[in-house]
Amino acid sequence: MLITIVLFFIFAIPVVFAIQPLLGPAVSMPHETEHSLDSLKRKKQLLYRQIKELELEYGLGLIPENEFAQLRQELKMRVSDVMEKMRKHS
Amino acid sequence: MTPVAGGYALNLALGFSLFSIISVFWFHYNKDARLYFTAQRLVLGSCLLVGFATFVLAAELINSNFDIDYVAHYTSLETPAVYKLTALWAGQEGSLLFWLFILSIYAGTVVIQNQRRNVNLMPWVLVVLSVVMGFFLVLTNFVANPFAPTDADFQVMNGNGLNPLLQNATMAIHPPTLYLGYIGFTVPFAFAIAALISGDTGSLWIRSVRRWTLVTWMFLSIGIILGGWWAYQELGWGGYWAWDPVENASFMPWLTGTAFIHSILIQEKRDMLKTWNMVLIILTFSLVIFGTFLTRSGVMSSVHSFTASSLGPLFLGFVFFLLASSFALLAWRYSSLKSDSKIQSISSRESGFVFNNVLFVVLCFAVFWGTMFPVLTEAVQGTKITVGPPFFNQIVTPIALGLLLLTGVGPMLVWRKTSRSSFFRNFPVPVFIGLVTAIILIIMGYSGSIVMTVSLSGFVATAIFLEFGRGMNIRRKKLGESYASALMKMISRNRSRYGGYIAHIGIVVMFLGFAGKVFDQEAEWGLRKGEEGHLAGYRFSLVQLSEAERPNHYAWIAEINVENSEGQKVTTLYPEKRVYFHNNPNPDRRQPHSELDIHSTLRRDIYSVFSAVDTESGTAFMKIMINPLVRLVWIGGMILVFGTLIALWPVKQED
Repeated sequence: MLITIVLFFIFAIPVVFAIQPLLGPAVSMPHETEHSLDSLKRKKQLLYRQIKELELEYGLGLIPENEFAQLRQELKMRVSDVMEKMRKHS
Repeated sequence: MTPVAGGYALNLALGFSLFSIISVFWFHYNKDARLYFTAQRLVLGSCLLVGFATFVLAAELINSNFDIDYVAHYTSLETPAVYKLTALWAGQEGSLLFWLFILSIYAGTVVIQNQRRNVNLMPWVLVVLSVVMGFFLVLTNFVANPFAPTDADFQVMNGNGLNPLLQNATMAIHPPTLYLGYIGFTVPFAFAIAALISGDTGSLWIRSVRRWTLVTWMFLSIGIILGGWWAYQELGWGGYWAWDPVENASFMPWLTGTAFIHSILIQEKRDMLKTWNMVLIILTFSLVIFGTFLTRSGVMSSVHSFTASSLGPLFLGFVFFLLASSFALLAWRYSSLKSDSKIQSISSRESGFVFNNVLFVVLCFAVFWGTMFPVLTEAVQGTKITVGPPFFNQIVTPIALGLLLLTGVGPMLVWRKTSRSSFFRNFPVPVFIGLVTAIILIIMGYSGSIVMTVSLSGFVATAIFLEFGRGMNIRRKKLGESYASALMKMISRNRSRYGGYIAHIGIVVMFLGFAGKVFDQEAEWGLRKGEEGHLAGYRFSLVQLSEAERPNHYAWIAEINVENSEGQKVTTLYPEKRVYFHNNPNPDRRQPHSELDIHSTLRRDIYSVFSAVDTESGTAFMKIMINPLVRLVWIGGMILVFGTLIALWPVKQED
C-alpha cells in the first residue's frame, strides 16, 4: 500500500509540475532583446575579449598593422556603443 | 523498488516527449507563452522520469532481481557489486536506457540553462531534443524493454553473469565517457536545426554550442582513448586499434566533430563557412546514430557489438529521417547562409582551416567506405568482402600525416593573407628542425612513414613551442614579467588558443606513439617450470605455475622472470589463465579468459599473454610482445584532454 502511494506521488509530481504553467494566467514570452542589461554585459565582455585576442594576434605578427588599427578601432567603437546603451539602461 | 514502476516511468516519459513537441507547435501557432513553459517542463519531467527508470534498473541489478530478464542475463550472484552496476550498459536494453539517461542529463541542463535565454531558438531546440528522446523511448518501451520479465515458468535462482571481458575497471568508465561524447552532439545538432527552422542563422547558435561541442568532443576523445586502453589491456592481441567496425563507428563522428570545432572558429571570426558548419554538425549527429545502428543491428561482427536484434531497421530509418529532414531545412535556408566574406588567399589562416576540414572529411569518408565495404559487397555481389587493417593503414596514414602537417602550419598562417615577411619569420626554424630530424633518421637507416611521422612531429612541436615563445616574449617586453609568469598569464588570458595548442602537442605525442607500432616484436612459447624463451634481448623464464580459486573464476597464474641481456632483473610478470563460471555444471557455459600482465615504461611495454595451459605436463603457453612507445599514446591522450580542459575553463569576468 505504502509503495503504491509513493509511486503515485512519483508519477503525479512530474505531471502537476509540467501542466502547472497552463493553470496560471497568460504570460508574455521573455524577451531577450539585445538591449537587456544581461545581454549588454555579455556583449561588452565578448568585445573586450575580442580586443585582447586581436592585440595578441597583432603581437604575434598574425595581423598586418593597417588591418589591426582598423579592426581595433571598430571594436572600440562597438564597446563605446554598448557602454552607452548600458548607461541609458541604468 | 518495483520494476513495473520503471516501465511505467518510461511510458510516461514517452508521453511527455510527445506532448512537449505538440506544445511547441501549438505555441508557435497561438504565441501563448504558457505553452512554451509547459514544453520546457515536459522535457524536464521526461528527464526526471528517465532518471527514475534508470535508478530502478540499477537497484534491481544490485539486488539481483532475476525476475527481470535483463538482470538474469547480465549478472549473477557472484558478480562483484561494481560490475553489477556496470551491467547497466553491458546489454542492449540496459545500454539504450543508459543512453536515454545521459541524453536526459544533457537535455535537462540545456533547458535549465536556457529557461529565459535564446528564446528564438529554444522552442525548436526542445522539439529536436524531444524527437531524439522520443525515438529512444519508443525503442525502450516497445522493442528493447529493460524491465521485461524473465521468460521462465520457474524461479530463476541465479543469472548468467557478466562477460569476463567486461569485468575490467576501464570498462566501468569507457562506455559512460563514450556515451557522454556521442550523445552530447545532440545539443549542437538541436541548436543548428533550431537555427535553420527559426531563420536565426547568424553566429548566435554557434556561440551557444561552442562550449557544449568542446565538452562533448573531449568526452568522445576520452571514450575512444579508454576504448583503446581497454582493448590493449584486455583483448590480448597487443594492439589498441584494430579498425573494427564499432571502433570506426566512434571514430567517424570524432573526425567530423573535430572538423566542426575548427570550422566554427572561422564563422565566429570571419562570418564564413556557415553552410559548411551546418553540414558538419548534421553529418556528425547522423554518424552518431549511424554508429549506434552499426553497434546494435548485428550487421557487422565485432568484439564490441551487441547481439543481433530487430533494432537495425529502426535506427537506419531514423538516420534517413535525420538526413532528409536536416538537408531539406538546409536547402530551404540556403540563401540566408551565404556569406559576404571570401577567402582572399590560399596562404591565409582561413584556407588552412578549410584544408584541415577537407582532410578530416576525406578521412571520415575513407573510414566509412572501409567499414561499409563488406555490407556493400554483400548487397551487390552476394559475398561479404572484408577490408582489414592494411587497407585502413594504407589510406589513413597519408591523410593523417597531412593533418599533422597542417597542425603545425595552421598557427603560423596569418588571417586573410600570409605576407612574405610573416612567412620568412615563422616558417624557417620549424622547417629546419623537421628536415634535420628526417635526415638524421634516414642516416640511421629508417625510411617511409616512420621518417615522415617523426620529422613532421618535430616540425609541428617546434612551430607550437615558437608560438608559445613569441607570446611570452611579447608579455615580457610589454610588462617585464618573468618567463613563468608570462607563460601562466598568457595561457590563462587566452585559454581557447593556448589550450588548443596544448591539445595539438598531445596529438604530436600520440603520433610518436603510433609510430612505435612499426617496431613491435612478438614470440610464442610453451614453457615448463625452469624453461626460458628469448625476445628482443630479454630472457623470459617460467619460475612457477600456481592455481587459485576465486569467487567467480578459477585461475592458473604464471610467474615469469624477465631479465635483460646483461642478466639484470627487469621485472616479474604474472599473467593468468582464468575460467569464469567454473562451477557451472554445463562446460559450455564456462568462459575461458586470459588476464594479461604488462610491464610498461616510456620506451617500451613488455606484454605477456597466458594463452593456454596443459595441466598434465604443467606447460604454460605464453605469448610475449615487445611494444615500443605505446605509453606515449596514453600520455598524448592525457595532454590532449588537459589542453581541451584549459580551452574549456571559463574566463574570469573582468571589466
